[in-house]
Amino acid sequence: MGKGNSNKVVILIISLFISLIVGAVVFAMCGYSPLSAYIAILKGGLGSRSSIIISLSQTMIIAFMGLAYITAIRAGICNIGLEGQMYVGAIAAAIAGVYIKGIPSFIHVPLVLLMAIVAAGLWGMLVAVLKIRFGANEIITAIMLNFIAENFTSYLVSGPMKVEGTVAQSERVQDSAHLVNLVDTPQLSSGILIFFFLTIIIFLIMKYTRFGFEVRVTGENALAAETGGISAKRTMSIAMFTSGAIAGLAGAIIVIGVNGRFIDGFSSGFGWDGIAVASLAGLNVIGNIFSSFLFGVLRAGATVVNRTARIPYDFIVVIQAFIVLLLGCPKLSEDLYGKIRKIAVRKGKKDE
Amino acid sequence: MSDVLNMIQSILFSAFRMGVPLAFAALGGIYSSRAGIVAMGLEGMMLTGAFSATYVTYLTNNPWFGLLGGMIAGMLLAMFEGILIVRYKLNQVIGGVGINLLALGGTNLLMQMVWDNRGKSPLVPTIGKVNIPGLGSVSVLLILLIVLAIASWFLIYKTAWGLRLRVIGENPQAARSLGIKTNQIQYTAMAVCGMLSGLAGSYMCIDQLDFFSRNVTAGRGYIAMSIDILGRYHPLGILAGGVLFGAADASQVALQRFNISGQLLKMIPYLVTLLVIVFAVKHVKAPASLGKNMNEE
Repeated sequence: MGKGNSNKVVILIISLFISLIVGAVVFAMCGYSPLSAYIAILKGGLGSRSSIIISLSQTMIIAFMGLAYITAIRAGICNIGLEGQMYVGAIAAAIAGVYIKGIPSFIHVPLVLLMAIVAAGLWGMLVAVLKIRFGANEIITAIMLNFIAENFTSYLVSGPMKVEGTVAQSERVQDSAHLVNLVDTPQLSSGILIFFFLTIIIFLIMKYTRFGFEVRVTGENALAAETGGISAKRTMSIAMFTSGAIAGLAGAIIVIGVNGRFIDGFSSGFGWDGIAVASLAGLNVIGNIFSSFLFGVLRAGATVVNRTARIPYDFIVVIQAFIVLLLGCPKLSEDLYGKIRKIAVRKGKKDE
Repeated sequence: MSDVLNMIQSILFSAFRMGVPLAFAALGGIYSSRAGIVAMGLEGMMLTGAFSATYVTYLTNNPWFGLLGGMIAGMLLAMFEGILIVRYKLNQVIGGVGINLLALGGTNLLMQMVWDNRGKSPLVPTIGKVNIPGLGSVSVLLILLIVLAIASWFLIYKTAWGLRLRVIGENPQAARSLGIKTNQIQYTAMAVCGMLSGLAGSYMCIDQLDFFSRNVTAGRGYIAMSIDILGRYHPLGILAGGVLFGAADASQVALQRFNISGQLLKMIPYLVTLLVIVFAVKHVKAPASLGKNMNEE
């Protein structure tokens, strides 16, 4: 156990290190010193009160997506439909937030969140249902549902739901639908409390309930689960509903917390962030918080350096890709680690 | 009435045009799938091929060099994915996600570095057309596609190599016990898959269009994956599938004259793919080992 864990940490550090080196190469290619670029990113993400707030706000959304991914993968499904589920949750929240009027806030906010949970949960569960009922390939259905959700919500906010003006976005949600702010800007709303609450709930369910046990067994071996009297189909469907619902909740929080409205194409790949941070966290719901913070700071900082230093924002996606790939093959990092150690040992001997 | 006829004719005509990249990528997907590797990376290979083809054409002013560049770039990315999956046992879905993210981020990044533009590249010359009696002028690559599909059919169904490839897709352990060098064949299959997907992407940017734009493939790699299933992983089946999905792609262009919102039209190919994959392909048997990594003995 101890050795296994220390090995995991080594792999994690190596993967992260290689990914950051890839980022450094990008900066060098753009003509910037890698070190000063990373320092600029850190400053941009953590340098002032407002930048910390933006970092935390990004962290919160990414952490939601990581949690959503972990929930599904535990049951053995790789949910690559997070992006679409987030859009569906967000548009449901926008509809409930804009068009339901005249009810008090303590009813309106939960109602908005509930709408988002149900809509996005069903959207997520659809992937599992189509797989179970029709044998439809879940990779393809999930990706197609992403594109459909993205384009359909885009249609809604540039057509029927569009606010007057040139920007494709919905009207602002009613005041009664706004989440309570924790600080003076809406960026960091009480959404973060919802996230912590949810993490604890998921953690407890996974660890201590019969359902959590069923999810784990299904994830490890669906056939064995069926033999043992667990309905793998039911477990997968519920896991996908939950996963979609969490992603949808993140979308809703962006609408009634961060932006106050549905803005066309607001997600800059949050769904893929979720996969990266969950991998980085070793699919652990607590680790997810820390890996999300890393990405939140990177994202917030990258926005700043993109403005000031003409470093394309997309380097983040490349770093992300390497994290996903490298953490997926621990053997590669082990091999590399072995080689590095060999070289170090040889060098050490030479020095003597 | 003649309006409708006109529209149908134009859809049919452009179905072939739009179907070519889909069929090229789907043809590549057959090699990968037959070797037991999920062809999810098609999207990334196409995008990488599209960018590289445009860039090489931009540098050399010769689209044929561009085509070569696109194929090589697609192949390199496919080999990278192949090594991670075959040698390092990477989960195939995660591999696909990672490769596609890498291609998306990488091409966006490089586009800004070389052209200093977030949206699209400068215009580049395109590959010429040939005149075929009855069909009019068609792309040279359309003919190449048909030749390659027939060649693939022969290779996969009529040669010893093809038999070995198919055995690996069904039962890699058995293949190995028969003395087949599974790794070598899987790498070769991935290389071919990458070249064909690179070709698919190249076609989009230096034939159909004359520029590269951000995420120009927009999910067509996944649609190609669906064509593989619909075409039962058969090279000639995917030609038909390519035209069908090409028609879905083409209808969104043809319907533009009816004052329908652009976002709704954009949904058509994705919606068609979803419906086809759910309702039309219930009983397609995929290669049995597809998606599973071989265990070490």
